[in-house]
This record gives sequence, structure tokens and C-alpha cells, in this order.
Amino acid sequence: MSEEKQNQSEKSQWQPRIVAFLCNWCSYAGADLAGMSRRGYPAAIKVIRVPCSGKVDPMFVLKSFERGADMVLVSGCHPGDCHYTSGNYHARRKLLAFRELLDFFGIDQRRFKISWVSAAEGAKWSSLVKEITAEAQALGPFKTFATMLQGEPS
Amino acid sequence: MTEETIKLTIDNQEVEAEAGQTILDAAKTLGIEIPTLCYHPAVPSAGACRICVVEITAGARGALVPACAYPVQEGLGIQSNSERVRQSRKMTLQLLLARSPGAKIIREMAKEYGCEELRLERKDDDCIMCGLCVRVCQQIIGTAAVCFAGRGPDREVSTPYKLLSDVCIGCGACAFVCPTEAIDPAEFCSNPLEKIANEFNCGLDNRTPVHIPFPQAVPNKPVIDRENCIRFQTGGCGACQSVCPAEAIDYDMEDKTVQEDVGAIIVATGYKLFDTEVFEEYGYGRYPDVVTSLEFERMVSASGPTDGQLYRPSDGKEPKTIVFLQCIGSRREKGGVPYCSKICCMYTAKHTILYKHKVHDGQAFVFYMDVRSGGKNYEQFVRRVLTEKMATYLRGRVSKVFPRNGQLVVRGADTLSGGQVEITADMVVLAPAIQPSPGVQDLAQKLRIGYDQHGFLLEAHPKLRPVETNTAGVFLAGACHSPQDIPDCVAQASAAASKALGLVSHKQLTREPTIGVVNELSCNGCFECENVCAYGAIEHKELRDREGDLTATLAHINEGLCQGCGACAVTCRSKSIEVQGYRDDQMFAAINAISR
Repeated sequence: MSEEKQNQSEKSQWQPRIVAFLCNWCSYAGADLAGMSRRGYPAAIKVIRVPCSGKVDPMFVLKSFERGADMVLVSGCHPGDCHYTSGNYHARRKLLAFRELLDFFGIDQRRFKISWVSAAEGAKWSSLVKEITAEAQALGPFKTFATMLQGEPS
Repeated sequence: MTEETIKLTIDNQEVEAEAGQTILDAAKTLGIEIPTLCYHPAVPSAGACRICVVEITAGARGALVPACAYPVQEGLGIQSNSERVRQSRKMTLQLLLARSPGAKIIREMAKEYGCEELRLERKDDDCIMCGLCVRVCQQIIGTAAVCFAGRGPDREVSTPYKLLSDVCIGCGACAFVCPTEAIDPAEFCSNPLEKIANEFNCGLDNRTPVHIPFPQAVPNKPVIDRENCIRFQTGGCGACQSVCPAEAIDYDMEDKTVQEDVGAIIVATGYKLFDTEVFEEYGYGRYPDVVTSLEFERMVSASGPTDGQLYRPSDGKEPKTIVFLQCIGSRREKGGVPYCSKICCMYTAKHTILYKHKVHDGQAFVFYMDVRSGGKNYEQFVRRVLTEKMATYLRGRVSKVFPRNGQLVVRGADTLSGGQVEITADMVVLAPAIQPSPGVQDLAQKLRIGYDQHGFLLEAHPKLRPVETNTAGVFLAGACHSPQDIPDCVAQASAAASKALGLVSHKQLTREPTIGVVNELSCNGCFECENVCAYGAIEHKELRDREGDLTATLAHINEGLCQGCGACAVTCRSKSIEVQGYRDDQMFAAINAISR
């Protein structure tokens, strides 16, 4: 096997690491439903449960990237359906503003995803994860912070 | 009024009556029947028809007097059914019969008194000129739309100048009290009332503005439909108030908003049927003999609009061939709903049995997709329908229903025989899909509970918490959760009631520990958190020194109100609020573990 081909197969085998913050009531339940209804989705996604998407501090997102995440997803209830009435509205305003700041940190905005998945949308969750995993694979590994930590110019 | 009692005897029985009462009232307390025509308890008596005459035999000058108008007197002796009385009534009836041979009540009375043989020339006017309608219109309704007109033989009940009346409010009180059913306000009223469809019977018959909503209503008491009540629309009428012996009618009552503090809420908003009119191929709404299963249910109900007689809506004939179509809108991805409505298979099987009980020589056909008879004894029930030839089941869909020679042709596929079938039917019954009640989404948002894309409310867990919702203290029962039959609804309602009782029967409320806590050392009292809290759980806590002087006002979280969403924790600039179980150090530990 030539070196080039091996590189290619390594690249296709490379699995991105996606950190997902899911609200307890909708998206986490939706992901649970996807599992219960035996819908497969890539294992690249690692789920952290939060009570509400409004509980996701921008610091959590930055911390995830710093620790080696290639993509971060925040998912909550559909606007209007928040279990806590308005938590996802707070999340939407806060995180959309925060996304604009990612360029400043040297993070590609496409690496930060926000979505709304309800507890009944197991199928949507499964297709969403497939979609963003493919996108993360296309974007390749996130190296900015790692190289900065090694003291090399990015 | 002074409590003055008067003693008199009627048919040799002693009775006490109040001053101002009539002989008729006194006779009623004794249970003595005196026939009446022009008398109505709500209307002052006129003594016009002379059918209620009684004979005074003692206490006053012996005479025949009308019982409805003659006041009681001390020591009066009355004979209500003496020979003289009977002779007088016979004469009156002969005259009334000659005038109104068509009136049913007159004929019945004449038969009772044995004077149907008529020696007089007959006229044909149902009105017996008793004037009850005139008195009701003037004295109860206060409108005076009808009155007596003409003199002698030309005397009649009419509107002024015999013109269409714009004074008449069309209340129908005159028709209601008329003993011979001779008057109809629709004939002279320029603004007659529209007929009101009876909602409970799917509009198959009509109801009055004052009505009991349905036979099993709780409480089983009449209500006034304000939109159709003349009293509320024009300010006239008031007939129901004047006849109600319990004086229970109060037109000034208003709807009230009642506020109650409760520990649990059970949502049981039920369902509505899919609008079958959108499926034009079945012709519902265009052909009167295409009905929904709910309409059919009312038609064959003993308490329904036809007293349980099954008639075709178009011509009133008995349907000899009937076709039931299942899955109208159900299991239909495009234009319908994708789910199975669950109860239609069983009630259609029941309907075929009901149909056979009503029409013994009739033939029923059922078009079905699958017969889903899951449930205790359900399969045996359907098997009985099939084996006892209650119905012929055809597996397939119907493409078109169209009229031909006064009947309906049902064209559809029979996939088991592999051919097209055409059935000429007298009636077609559609089994519409079940949908959540309109407006249930608004309610769900108010209660902060979830619902699926069809609008059915979401349980907390499909297997382990089937009647609870994600909001503590809110439970589900019945078809608001999913299409359900009666046993399922009863089971779920019992479960919800037990869960609610379990919640409120404890002295202390158990809460999740994952709620917000304020670090009072770092909180600077900016109260940004107050702006984002949806529960009003942020309180102002005053810190005072030893002298009692205010040193700081800090945020404090009410443990009973906080739901632990964490919105305040993210908003807090000094990071002084943490949600227990989701503290920042715990979150970062999770992120560290997962991102590596």
C-alpha cells in the first residue's frame, strides 16, 4: 500500500470528537428515543446532559474546544416549547452572539452547532448526528488550540 | 301576604287554600283533575274556554263557574264532575269540535266525554280563540305582537292589520302554550328564529336555546345558550323565568374566572374527529346519506334524534344495504394522519351488529385495511360479526362514492379477490381519524408539557411513566395522550387519579435536589438573575448588621419555586449561582473527561 493511500484510509478512519450539550427535557429525551427505537447514529458524538439549553455557559463550549473537541453541539427544545418556559430563548440569544465571537478565538464558526430537537424527534436526532459527523469529518481535526499549547505558530 | 287559610270542600273532600288561589289550585292540591285548555300556570287566567267549569253546590249561589278563574271562598262546596258539569263540558266540546275538528286535544277530550258525534256544521280552524297566546305575548313577553282582531264571527287572533310583524321577536312562546298547536310565529314574524342544530346529536335534530347539553350531563341541568336566546339578544321574552317554579333562572349571572390553588392537574381534553369533508371522493357533506360513524351512533341510539329508528337522512327510508368505510384519514401519510386511530375497527364491528339489530334483512359491508382487534375478547367479537354474517368484510380501499338512482354506489378494490367491486348502497358510514382537541397545544404550553407533531400530549416515559408528564404534578388521561378506547381511558384516568392522590396525600412535598444556590459571599445583588427566572424564584434577601442596619441586599432562591433550569447560573456575572448537580466544576470535569 502506498503512503498516500494509507494516509487517505487513515483520514477516512479518523473519527471526529463531537461534544453535545443536550437539554434534559427535549433533546436528551429525543436522543434517548432514538436509542429506544433502535435508530443508529455515529458514536463520534459525546453527550453531556444539562437541565436546559439555557444552562450552557459559553465557557463550556470554549473548554470543550480547548480539551480537544472537533465540534460542539448545543441542542434544546424547539422555541416555544421550553420546559422552563424561556430557557431556550436565553440560549438562542446568548449562543448566537457567542458564535460571532468564535472567529476571534480562531475557531471556525462551522464547528459550533445549535439545534432544536424535541423529545418526539428520535429520527431527527439520528439524522442530525449523521449530518454533523459528516461535516466534522470534512472539516478535519481542530488543531488551533493544540498547536498553540505546543507553542508553535498556528 | 297574610297567611290566611280558607277551608272549602271539593267533591266532598275538605281542603285548605290560601286567599287568592283559585278553585283549580285547590283541586290540584287534592289531586283532582279538572280539564283545562286556556289555562297556563304562568299566565293570568281568563276563563275563556269554559272547559274547566265546576258546579258550586254550597256556600254561594249555585252556579257553574270556571275553576281556573274563580277564587276560593270560605265554606265553598264544589262538585268537579257532577252531571250538570259534564253536560256543560259536553256542550262546550261540541261547539269547539265544530269549530276545530282538526285539533287533536279537542278530539281526544270529545272522545273522553262521548260526544264525538257532531250535530253542528264543521268549520276548519284549529284556533279555539282561547286567547292564551295573546295573554302570553302581552303579559309575559311584553311584546303584544298578536291580539284579537275583528268582531263576532270574524273575530280571530292576528297581528295588527294582519301584516308581517316586526314587533314579534320570534320567541315561540305563543306556539309553546297553544293547546291546539294552531299558531306558528314563522307565519307572521318578519324576523323568525333560525333553527339551532343540536350539537350532541351531530346536528341531526334541533334544540331550543334553553337545553340540557346531553342526557348524561353533570350537573344534569338546563343551560341557556346566550347566542341564540331572545332574552339576551333582544331583551324581550323571559318566558323561562316566568314559568320556572324554582325561580332558578337569573339572567344577570355572568361567567366567572375562578382561581384555585391546586396540588395536581390532570389533563383530559379528549379528541376531535378528522374533518372527512376534505376527502371529496367519499362525498361527505355532498350526499346526505354519507354519514360519519358518530352520526350513525346517534342515529341508532335509543336516546338519539330518531329514538333509535334507523332512517336514511335523505328520504327517511330504512337502509337495506349499508357500507362502512374504515381508516378515513387514518394511516394516511398524505392529507391524513400517519397513525392508526385504534378504536375504529372495534366500533365499526359494533355498528354492524347494531345495524343488524335494527334492520334484520339488511346487508352490511365493511371496507378495511387491517382489522386490528387487539384487546381482551376483541378478536372473538369481530369473529362473531364475521361468522354470524353480520357483515361482509372487504380488504381494500374505496376510490369513489357517487349517487345513482337515489342510491350510492361505492366503488373500491377488494385486494383479497384481486378485483374491483361496486356496491350499490343505501347508506355509507365513514370512520374518521382521531385527532387531539383543538387548542390543546396552547394548554400544553401553559402547563409546560410537551406534545408530538400531531398535537398529542407527551408522557414522561412511554413505558415507565405513562400517565405522568415532564412537569411535576401534571398528569394525562384519555385521548389527549393518544387515540384510546374506553377501557384504556378508564385505566389511564384511574392511574392519573392515583398518581395525583399520591402527590397530595403527603404532609411534605418531595423535590428534586438539583436547584440553584446563591453564594452569598460573592453575590453583589445586581439581580440580573431575577430577569431570566421564569418562576419568580429569586427573592431579595436583606443582610443586616448587629444594629439592624441594612448592609446588603442579595439574591436568594426559593427552594419550593426553583425548577433548576440554570438560566440564572449562566446569567450571573460574578458566578455566584450554581445549580446543584450541575456545578461548573462538575461540568468542566465532564467536559475534560469527554473531550480528551
